[in-house]
Amino acid sequence: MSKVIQALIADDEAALSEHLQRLLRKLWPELKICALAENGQQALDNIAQYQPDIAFLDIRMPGISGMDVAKHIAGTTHVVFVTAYDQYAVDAFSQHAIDYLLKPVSETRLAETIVRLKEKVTTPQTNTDVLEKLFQQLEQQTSKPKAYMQWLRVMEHDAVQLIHVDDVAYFKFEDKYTSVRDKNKTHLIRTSLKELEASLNPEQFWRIHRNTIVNVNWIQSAEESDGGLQLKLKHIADELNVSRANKHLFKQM
Amino acid sequence: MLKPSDIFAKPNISPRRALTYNIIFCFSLALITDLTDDEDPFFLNLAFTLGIGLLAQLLVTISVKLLYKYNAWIQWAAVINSILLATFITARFSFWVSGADQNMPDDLLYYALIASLPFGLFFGLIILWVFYSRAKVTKAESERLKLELSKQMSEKQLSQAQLSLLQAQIEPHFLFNTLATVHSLIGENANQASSMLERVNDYLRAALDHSRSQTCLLSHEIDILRAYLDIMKMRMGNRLHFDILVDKGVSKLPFAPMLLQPLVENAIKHGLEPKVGGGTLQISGMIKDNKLCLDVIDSGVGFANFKGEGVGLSNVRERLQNLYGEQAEFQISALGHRGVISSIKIPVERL
Repeated sequence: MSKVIQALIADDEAALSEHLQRLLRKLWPELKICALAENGQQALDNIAQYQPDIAFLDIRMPGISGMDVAKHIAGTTHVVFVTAYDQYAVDAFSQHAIDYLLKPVSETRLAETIVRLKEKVTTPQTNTDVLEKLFQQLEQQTSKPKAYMQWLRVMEHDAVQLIHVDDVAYFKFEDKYTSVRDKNKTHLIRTSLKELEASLNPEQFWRIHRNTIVNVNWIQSAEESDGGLQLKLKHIADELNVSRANKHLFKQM
Repeated sequence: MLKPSDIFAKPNISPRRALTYNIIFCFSLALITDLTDDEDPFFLNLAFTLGIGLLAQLLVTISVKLLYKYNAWIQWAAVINSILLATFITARFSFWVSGADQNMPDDLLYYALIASLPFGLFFGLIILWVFYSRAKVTKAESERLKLELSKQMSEKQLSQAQLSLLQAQIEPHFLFNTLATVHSLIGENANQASSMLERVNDYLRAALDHSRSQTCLLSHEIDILRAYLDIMKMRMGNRLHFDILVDKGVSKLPFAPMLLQPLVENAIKHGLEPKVGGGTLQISGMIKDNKLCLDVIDSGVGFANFKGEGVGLSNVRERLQNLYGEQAEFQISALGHRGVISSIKIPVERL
């Protein structure tokens, strides 16, 4: 082959990328390693600069992940993913016949990859479609069965604080903001009741009024008043109104 | 005392088995009567005993079904009554069949009928006693089995809990990445590889011991964290700096395993590892206002990638509440994009 084949290695751990470099030098002496990148951004910069034929990308990297780098360079550079433990990813890779290496990289496994790469560098590159399909599948596999929101972000002075949803007595919408009442105080958030309702566990959080969602575990008692219902809460003195339309929620109580 | 409704039910004695026993008993009774007394033919004796036995069982079954809600005394009274009634009816029927009632004056007939009652009751009680003792044995056996099963279950649950504690402690991604790093160092920098392996060894040993013991000292947890952070430091190099500032006196306090570890792991995984330049992590422990205050502070990316799930954090919160009650505090906050502070406060007297 007349043209020199170039490769880039991206891994945030220097020891790992150097190790891969040594192995490559041994098994594929003609290959030129143009750069060792320590993070996603560096990898992109180096790829733009050297335009390598092959990129060995660690999946978990600071800043831009290996996956994102691959998206950017799809169609121009052959990608080989390198990962320590991503069960889902490994399944997906093998299904889409995209190269991947498991850390620690062994010589025999790398030799196989090299054989495949030598064939491929002379033929057209991995196209965007294959990668696109892979990413879709990865997202499906890694997105767990819908989990309910556990923690809320609220502003406390100039810091963001996390509040566990179990500690919230109720949410109440009052123009533009939603107030979040816990044992000690009321916080304001910008999330609408509709969004909250969609992400909270519906068995624990009931919409009892157009403007109120209550944490069922906080309800002390429900009393009839003027044809409507009035809720008394545990730990705090606040009382909540249940609208006529939602009275049925308390029928069995 | 066992209730008849419990005796004549699974797992003690099913109606079908009771029927089998009953028939065998009546058959042998008829045989014995036949041997000792040659007045009546065998089949007549058999008809008599079987008549009482089967009728008694029918009546007992019905009355016990009807009275299953009532206490043992009422049920036993009904059982005795059923036997007496069965004996009376069978005796009356047998007199009618044999034509004895035709030749006897009425008062003698009733006298003979009443005289048959102790006979029925005696043998009825014998077979009831057999059933009763059998039921007692099966009941004791099933209780023993139940106890055994629950013991096994709780042992299983315990080891399951230990295992999940261990799994939570040793995250596979961490372990495999660390081993990959050691592997890559072996040829090139054997000294570093060996010191890293030593730390991995320390970490695994401490984590294993830790997950097996119920009570721990804070110093144990700190040892594990130090080993973990040393390993991370070797992997991340200059991207990680860490400080552990825990007073000597504080580290001697008892402390539940695995409360601090998830906070440190989170700080690394979601705070510092994703940050290009890395940053610092600080663990501090002190007594303030009679409370043990533990802080994990990182200078990472903050809540940038936080999606509101945080299972690890939810576990910490739950365990804190279960172990130390309402007074234990757990707070996580971020200062913009300048990292996260997670803090635990536990009243010293609750430790």
